[in-house]
Amino acid sequence: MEGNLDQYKVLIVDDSDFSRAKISTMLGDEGFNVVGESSSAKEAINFLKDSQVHLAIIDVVMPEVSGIELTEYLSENFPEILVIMISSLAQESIVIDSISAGASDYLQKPFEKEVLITSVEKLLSSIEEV
Amino acid sequence: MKFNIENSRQVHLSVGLIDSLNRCLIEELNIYNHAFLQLDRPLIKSSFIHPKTRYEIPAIFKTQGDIKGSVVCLLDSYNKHINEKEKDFFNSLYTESMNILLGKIFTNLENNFNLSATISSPHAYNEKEMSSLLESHFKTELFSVGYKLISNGQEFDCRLIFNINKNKLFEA
Repeated sequence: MEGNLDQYKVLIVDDSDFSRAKISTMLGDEGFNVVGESSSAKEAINFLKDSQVHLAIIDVVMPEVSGIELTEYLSENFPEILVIMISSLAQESIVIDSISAGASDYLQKPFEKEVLITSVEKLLSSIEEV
Repeated sequence: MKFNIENSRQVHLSVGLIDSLNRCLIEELNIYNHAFLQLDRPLIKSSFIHPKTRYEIPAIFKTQGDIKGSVVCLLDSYNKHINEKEKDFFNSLYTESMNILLGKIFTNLENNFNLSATISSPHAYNEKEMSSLLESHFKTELFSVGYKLISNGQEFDCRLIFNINKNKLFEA
C-alpha cells in the first residue's frame, strides 16, 4: 500500500456474503482499513449515520434499492465519499449510469486483487492530493 | 391442419435467442481462486427438464430488459460433503458464482448481439415459484446448460435452466 492510505475508511456494500468477505480480505491483506460491510443499501445508509467513510465499494444489483440508486443518494447526501461500483454485468449503459450517478470507477466481477488495489489506491491518493 | 402463426413465431424467436445465448456461454471461469466453473454440456438444447430433487440447491434469477423470464440454477449436492459449519459460506459462494457467470453471459449478449438485459439478485428458495416454472415447460420451451462447479477438491454438477424470451416491447 502506498503512503498513509490506511487512515482512510472503506465500506463494502454487497448482498453476497462471499463477495463481501473476499473483497474485505483482499483489502485487509494489503493494509487498507475496512470499517464496515453492509448487505443492502438500507444497511449502508444506517451505517453512515454513525460512521465516517471515505470510500464505498458498492455492488450494482442488490434487492430493493440498487447500487446505482445508493450511489445517487451518496452523491447528494455524502458527496465526499468516493465510490467504486462492482458487478458481474458490464454493459455500457450500466457503466454509464453508474458513472452518471457519481461512481469514480467500475469493476466487473470477478476481478483480480491487483485491479481492485490499483483502483482503491488511485482514489484514496486523490484525497491526499486535495 | 391449422397453421398457428403465433406458435410458429414464438418458436422462431426462441431458437434465435437460444442460438445467440449459446454463442455467449463462458467456457471457464475462475471465481476469485475459491471456485472454478467449467462448461460441461456445450449446447443449450430443448430437453425434458426433470423436477428438482431434494439434493439440488436452487438459485433463481429474473431477467429484465430485452429479455424477459428467469434462469433457475440447480446445484446437485448428492453424495457431496459440505461441512455444516461451511454450509452458509458454500451456498453464498455457489450463488455468487452463478450471478457472476450469468452476468458475464448477459454482458456478452449485449456486446455480440445488441440484446440488453440484466439479471436480478438471486431469489431465495420458493417452492411455488419452482413448481410454476417447471409446469411452464408444457407451455413454453425451456433450455438448459450444464456446468461443473469445482471447489475445495469437489466437483458439483450445476444445471442452468433458461425460461426466457425476447421482450415483445423491444422487438423491431
